[in-house]
Parts: sequence; C-alpha cells; structure tokens
Amino acid sequence: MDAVARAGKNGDDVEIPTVKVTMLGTTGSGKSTFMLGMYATLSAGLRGYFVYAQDQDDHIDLTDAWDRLLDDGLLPPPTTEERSRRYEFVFTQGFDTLLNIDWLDYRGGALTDRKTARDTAELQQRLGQSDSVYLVLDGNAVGRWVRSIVEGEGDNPSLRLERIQRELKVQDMTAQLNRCVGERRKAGLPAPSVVALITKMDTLPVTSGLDRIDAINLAVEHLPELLPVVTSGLTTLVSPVQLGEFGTEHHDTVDTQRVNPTHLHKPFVFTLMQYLWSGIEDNETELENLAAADVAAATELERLRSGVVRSLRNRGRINSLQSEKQRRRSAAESRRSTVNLMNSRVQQLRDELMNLPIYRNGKLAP
Amino acid sequence: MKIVMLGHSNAGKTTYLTAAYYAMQHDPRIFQISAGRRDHRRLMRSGRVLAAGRGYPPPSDARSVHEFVASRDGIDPVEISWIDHRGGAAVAKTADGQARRLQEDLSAADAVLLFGDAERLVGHTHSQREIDTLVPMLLRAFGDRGGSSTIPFAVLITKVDALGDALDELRPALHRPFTALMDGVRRAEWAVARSFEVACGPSARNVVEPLLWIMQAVIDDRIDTHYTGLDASLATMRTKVAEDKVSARFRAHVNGVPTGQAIVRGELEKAIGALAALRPLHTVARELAAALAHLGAVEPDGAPEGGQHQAVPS
Ligand SMILES: Nc1nc2c(ncn2[C@@H]2O[C@H](COP(=O)(O)OP(=O)(O)O)[C@@H](O)[C@H]2O)c(=O)[nH]1
Ligand SMILES: Nc1nc2c(ncn2[C@@H]2O[C@H](COP(=O)(O)OP(=O)(O)O)[C@@H](O)[C@H]2O)c(=O)[nH]1
Ligand SMILES: [Mg+2]
Ligand SMILES: [Mg+2]
Repeated sequence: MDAVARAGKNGDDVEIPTVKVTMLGTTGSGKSTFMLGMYATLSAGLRGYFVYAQDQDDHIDLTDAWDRLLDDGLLPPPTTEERSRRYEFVFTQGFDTLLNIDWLDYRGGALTDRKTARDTAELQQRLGQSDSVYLVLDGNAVGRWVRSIVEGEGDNPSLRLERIQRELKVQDMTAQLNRCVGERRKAGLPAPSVVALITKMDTLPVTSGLDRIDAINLAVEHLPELLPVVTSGLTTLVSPVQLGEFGTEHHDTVDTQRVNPTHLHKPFVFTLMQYLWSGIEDNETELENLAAADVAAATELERLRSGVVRSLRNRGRINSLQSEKQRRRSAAESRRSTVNLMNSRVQQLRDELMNLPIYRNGKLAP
Repeated sequence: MKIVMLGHSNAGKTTYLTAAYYAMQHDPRIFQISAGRRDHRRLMRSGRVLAAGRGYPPPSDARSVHEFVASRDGIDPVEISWIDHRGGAAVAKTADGQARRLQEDLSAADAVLLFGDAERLVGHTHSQREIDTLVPMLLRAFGDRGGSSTIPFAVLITKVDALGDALDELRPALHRPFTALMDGVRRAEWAVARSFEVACGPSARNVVEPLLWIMQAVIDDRIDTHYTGLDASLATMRTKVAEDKVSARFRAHVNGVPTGQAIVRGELEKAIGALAALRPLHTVARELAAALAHLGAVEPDGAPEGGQHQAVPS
C-alpha cells in the first residue's frame, strides 16, 4: 500500500493509504457492469461510508451509464478501448477520507492477447502491487459447471471441467494471481486478498438446473475443483453478484423492471476489511515488539543500576534507555489508537459480510 | 464570504437568490443587505414580479456572482459573494468549464446551499439518485477540509408551495434523499447543517431563514474569535504581571524591548476592544436566534423538527 501524505485537519499530515484492486476475467464476464453497479451502490452512501470517483468525469460517466441502465435498460457497451481502464476512487466515512482506491478494470482480451504486450507488461507490474485481486467468473459458466457436478460430465463435452476452466481462463488468472503473490512476498508485502466474483448469479438456476441457493452452495463447496488456487492459503471471498435478472442470452438492452442489483458492494467491503485486518495485525506485531524491547530495556536498566561501579558511561546509558522507553511509550500509544480506530471500523462493517463464504488457510471458514 | 449554491437545473436556485434578496429589503430588522446599483435594480424588478406571482426569473445561462454587503450598526459589515451557476453545471463534464468552476467555487465556499426540488423529490422514482449524483462534488470540496471557521451547510427543499396540503404527509419523502449526506455533514467538525422547506413567490415560506441561519454561523464564528483573543490577552497579562519585577523592567530597558507594563497595557486595550465588539454581536446573535426560533431545534439528521422521517435502511 502506498501512503500519500495529505494536509489533514489542523494542518497536520495524515497518511491516506492507497489500496490497489485488480479485476481479472474474460471479456464479457461482467466486470464493467459489476463496477458500474458497485459504484452506484457505494456512492449513494452505506452506513455512513461513501465512495466517490476522484475525477468528476469518471463520476459523470459511471452515473450516466447507470442512469441509462435504470431508465432505458441500456447495458454498457463492451470495453472497446485498446487499454484497460483505471479508476481512482476515494473511500470516506462521511467527509473524512479513509482510503484511496486504485481500481483497474482489466481489458478482457489482454489476459492472453499477444498483440497487446504493452498492456500485459503493465498488468504484470501492476499485479505485483495489487492488494486485492478479483477473479471474475461468469455465472453462466459456473452454472454449467454446477450442472456437471450434479449430472456428471457424461458425454456432454460442454460440461467438462477443463473446458469450463478454459472458457473462464482459470489457468491464466491463477498464473497471474500467483505472480502477484510472489512479487508481493519479494517486496515484503502481505499476500493479496482474493475475491472469487461469480457474476450474473441470476443465470445460475437456468444453467445449473438447481435453485439459486443450492447452486451457490454447491459452487462454493466445490470451488477448489474449479479454482484450485482457493486452497493455496490466500483469504478468498466467494461472492455471487448480479446486476439484474437478464437471462443467459446477451442483449444490448434489458427490461428495466429486471434491473435488480444484488450484493454488489460486498466484495469491496471485504477488500476493505482485509485491509483493516492486516493493518491491525501489523500494528499488533509492532506493539509486541515494543513490549519486548521494554522488557529487554528493563533488564538492562536493572543491571546497570545495581552495578557496583556506577560509571559515567553507565549513567549515560541509563539516560538513553529512559528516553528510548519514553519514545516507545508514545509510539505504542499511537499504534494502540490506530488499532482501536481500525477495530471500530471493522465492527461497523462486519455485518455486511455475515454469512458470506470465505476460504481461509485453504479451508472454507465455518 | 462565499455562498455557493449546488443543485440540478430548475431546482430553484436563481429564484431563491432573488426572493431572498427581495425579502431582506422588506425586512431589514437584523441586517440590511445591499448590492451594486445595477444588480439591485435587476433583483428588485424580478423580486417584485416573483412576489406578485407574475413570473419567475429567467433561466441563467452562465455563472454569475452577486456581490452583497450585509450591514448592521455596531458590527463590521459582512461581504458576501453569492455564486449562481448555470443549470447543468453540476452534472456536466469538466471539458465544460462551468463544471470545473463549480467544483472550484465549492472548494472555496464558506457556506453551501444544496437544492432539492420538492416536486421532483416526491414525484420521481429516481430522486435519490439525482441527489446522490451531487454528493461527490461536495466530498471532493470538503473532504478533510481544515480551517477554523465553521461552514454552514443548508439543504433547501424548494417549491414546497406546489405540494399544498400534502406537505406534512410527504415530508419524510422530501428529506430521505438527504439523510445519508446530512449524516456525514453532521459528523464533520467543520460544518453545521440543517434543512429548510422553502417556497418563493406569493405564498412564500422560509425565504429569509436560510440566509439568516448562515449569518448566525458568521456571527457565532466572530464571537468565538473574539473570545479566543480575549483569552489570549488575559493569559499574556497574567504572565506579564507575575513576572513584573524591577530587574525585568531594567532588562527590557537595556534590551530595548517593551516592558511588561507596556505589553499589559497593549493587551488591555485589545481586551477592551474585544469586549466592545462582543456586545453588539451578542445582540445580533440573540435577534437571529429569535428570528429562527420558529424553525425548532435541528434533529440529529439536520431536518426540521416534526419531520418524523427515518433513516433509510441500507
Ligand atoms: N444475466 C445477467 N447478465 C449480465 C449481468 N451483468 C452483465 N451481464 C451480461 O454480460 C455482458 C457483459 O458484461 P460486461 O460487464 O460488459 O463484461 P466485461 O467485458 O467483463 O466488462 C453484459 O452485456 C450483459 O449481457 C447480470 O447481472 N445478469
Ligand atoms: N411553485 C414554485 N415553483 C418554483 C419556485 N421556485 C422556482 N420555481 C419553478 O422552478 C423554475 C426554475 O427555477 P430557477 O430558479 O430558474 O432554477 P435554477 O435552474 O435552479 O436556477 C422556475 O421557473 C419556476 O417555474 C417556488 O418556490 N415555487
Ligand atoms: Mg468491460
Ligand atoms: Mg438558475
């Protein structure tokens, strides 16, 4: 996470960290529409928190596109730009800035496309910095895979696991994700959080033949078969979302009555929670280090004070030990208040993630 | 001070500005508001037409700034730049210079009037979205705003005359789209917030109140500043009196710096000045409080009392 200094209240500099999110997925998997709905949901404010686009033009584009969908049923056109699209969002609590979010809507084809080497090189570098990676799984394909679990693959080649994995570009996504983990480890950064985003969840009943809840449960439970990387120890939220009930066929326009955004803000809340958790962990580790240093210093002080010869040098050392102790105390205080603040934010947001399936340490968390 | 209005096209911004200026001319008890001669004549003309129910000010096609002065015996005049933007500036792209100007104006604003059109708020399924889309401009302008003065942040729900008797019943729907935002403003240390149900024209309602409420914040800030100065003067006097020894006087003399006594004398003058300034400010503050008393207390979400609307479940 990069920290950007900004003039804060009373003129003191507060660090506004930046969280980088990268969305990976094939063209047409639903990345852009998801982004749109997520922005609409969070920019309206949720439990006192807001998201807004740093750039007013991005804001106008996103809200216009959302209005077109809600008013006229027009879906956003596929990403046609040569390059992927980046957004800078700001996450606030009321008017207090908490985080900058650097969001990359990755141009689908560029995952493997050799012609867009430049884009790919940029992605490589970018991946190494991503705090959160969203693996976008088209609900249509996920539904067919669920059907194959129920019915068995049989003679139906379209239900074969490898075929669906190929369609979703699972191998590519996994390779990219692993690269990200490796790069971050090299840089001494914690592993990224992962969201397995199942888009178009309205299509699950049609494609899987089960009702929605059953289909989701089965998909979650069997996810390691489709996406083995979820058992690699990364913390992964499985998040089914939809923009509406648009069916399995793609149309440029949809019935506005069928627009029904569901769960679109959950992945983002998860990204944020993971960020808070890792911040809390870092601070607690540092607090432990400070406490350990205190113990060591106390032992040394004891020894110096009880020494028979209280040399001048000893006195100097005693003074410096005491001032270091003072410094540690104020450092610990500020860390503790950061932890408290982060904890209170975790409390405010945790309800939003209740009952959502999360893979942790390779296993589905209970 | 800069007053900046934010709202969609046709929300009633220009009409409100006109009506407020016109009404203040007829009710100069607390403040006299004046403008340059040409602006005054124009505003009076459209104000008269508006009050008589014969029409509304023409739509504005460019940003305009009205320079007003609010004066009152015994206190320093308040210079007001009241900025009225062209309709559509709030939802235009920045290639349109007006949108950028609006963002800049908001960032420099000392008071904000956010407009919502009552007829749209109740009649449109998308009224929430329409208000939401204005919020980022405010967050950008005021996010982490430092500074010592308080920013009055007023939501003006305009055209409530058009709702007639249904107003009471529709009140929750009128205020709901602002709940999340007002919640955020209320939490911010730099702001005070409240909303007003406004009608301009023959059945005018709450026209001068938003302006008086802004003036109240200005006066409160001035009172605060004077008390802070008074505290500082007294503290200096106390130290200087305590250390006033012959030796200290001698040292000051040798070093060619003012003696403790001279400093105390200076601070005393300042304190007397502050007290003299405070008296009329307190009088105005009392008058403003009385003029606004009928609005009732501000509920936590900034809505007027009696607006028994609930927070939107998220
Ligand atoms: N049934 C259904 N279809 C969706 C949904 N979201 C997106 N789609 C469809 O998926 C298409 C591609 O989505 P898009 O976001 O452009 O994909 P991208 O290429 O990954 O950005 C859209 O045009 C819709 O037809 C949804 O929630 N439900
Ligand atoms: N009933 C009613 N209509 C109003 C009122 N204020 C404005 N309007 C209507 O709203 C229109 C637009 O107002 P205007 O002040 O130009 O809006 P602006 O674009 O925000 O400056 C006017 O022409 C009137 O038709 C009001 O207090 N009551
Ligand atoms: Mg796209
Ligand atoms: Mg106007």
